[in-house]
Amino acid sequence: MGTRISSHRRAVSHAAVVTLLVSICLLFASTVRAQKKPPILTDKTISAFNIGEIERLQTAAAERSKPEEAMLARNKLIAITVEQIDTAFNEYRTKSRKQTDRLNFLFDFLEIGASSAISIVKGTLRAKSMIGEGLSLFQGTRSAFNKDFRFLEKQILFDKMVAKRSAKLAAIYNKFNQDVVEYPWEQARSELRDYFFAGTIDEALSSLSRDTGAEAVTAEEALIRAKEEAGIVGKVTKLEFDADAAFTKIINPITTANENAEKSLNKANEDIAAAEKTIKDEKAKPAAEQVPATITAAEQAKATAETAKTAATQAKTKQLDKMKAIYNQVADNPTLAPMLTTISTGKGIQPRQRQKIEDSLKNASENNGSFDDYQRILGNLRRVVVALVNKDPRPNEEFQKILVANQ
Amino acid sequence: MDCDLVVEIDAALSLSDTQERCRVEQADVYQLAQIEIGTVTNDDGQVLLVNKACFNEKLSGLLKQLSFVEGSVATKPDWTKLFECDMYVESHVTHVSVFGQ
Repeated sequence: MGTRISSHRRAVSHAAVVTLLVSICLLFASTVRAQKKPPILTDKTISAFNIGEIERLQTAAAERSKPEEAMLARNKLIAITVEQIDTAFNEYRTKSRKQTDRLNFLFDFLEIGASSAISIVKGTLRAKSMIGEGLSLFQGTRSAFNKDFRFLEKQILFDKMVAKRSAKLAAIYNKFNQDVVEYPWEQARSELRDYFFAGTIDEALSSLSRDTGAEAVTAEEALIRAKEEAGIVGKVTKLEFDADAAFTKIINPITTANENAEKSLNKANEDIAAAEKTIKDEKAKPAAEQVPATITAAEQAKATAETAKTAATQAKTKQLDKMKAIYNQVADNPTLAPMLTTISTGKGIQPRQRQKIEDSLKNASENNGSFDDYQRILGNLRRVVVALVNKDPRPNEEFQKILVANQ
Repeated sequence: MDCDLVVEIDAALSLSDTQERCRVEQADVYQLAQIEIGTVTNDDGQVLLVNKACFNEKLSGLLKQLSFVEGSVATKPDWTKLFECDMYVESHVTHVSVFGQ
């Protein structure tokens, strides 16, 4: 037991030594170094950090009696501020990159060291397994860092900042030739503040979100427009639903009453035919075999059926008159009348149906339409009016008025 | 498609929205007879997915209410089965049984 523990310790210490050696080699082998700043750009010597000079320029920029000098002073102030903002931005970017690079190097180093140690170490399986566990820990930690600190996303944000900063700065530089009355230092300072914010993470995130959202909305609107232009219909809107329901409420009782009258008429005709057959069959028998009661009952049944037929015919005429009245008012309506000519040529109407609608329109215009003719015309007009209601509700309003008046 | 009226319906609609669109298009004079998947190419050459709904004129005995059910369903109490078809539901091809009442 004691021998085994000592073997583990030896294996781990060997691994540690190997890892340390590799790290020292790598550290000394590293040749990547930052460039030195030119002397003129050293923070201590440039005017960007000279408060006295800035105050002098601000006084000069406010001097409107000397426009040339004021403009020059304002432009110098702009240049100084731009330099200060750029310095802050570049330092922030460098720091951020260095942090990321150091962490990445550390993770690379630990992972390579640990995986090499597994191969080099002469210990037991337990020792190798422990180093393996350590390797998993490093890999998991790197993954968590990448996920939580969003290293990869930072580059996108910096790109966004650079783009936004360039746009802001170009707008400021374009005003360099304007005098201080037209473009005073105070306004320039306000725009320079925007230039500074364009280089912050918050502004980049916000701008990225705005731009992406706007692009998505534009693409969605373009698709909706493309579908509309292609005549593709979408979800039923509330306006369409309400218009459709209003038609159904008034037209349905008329069509249902007509259907019932039609059924009654068919039944009456069948009853009359049956009664007539009974009478005929009975009378065809020799006089001695005829049953007068059968003939009387059949004649009574026939009379009842004829009464029912008259009632059904009157009911059908009543419904036909209602449909005709609606059609006539539509045909006299200045908004709806022109639409009647379009119902047979609308998108999706197939040739044989087009012919049927045109025949019905002809019959109706000659005051010779059947119930089916009026139903066909008003049903197809309803489709057109409902389809139009989102863009132009007037035809629907006119149609509804006519329907309500004939309810 | 041998029918009296063909309506091209947006393939991105849900099943219930497509059902409602077909009910409104019936306009109490047409009966939904079939639905097929298809495409429409607009003037810019953009290809758009659609359900091509086929209607036949029916002036009496119309089944005004429609019910779309996903899958192959033989019967539905108090409803008459009209047909089964493959159609787009939220832009995915889905097998649907269509009933009328």
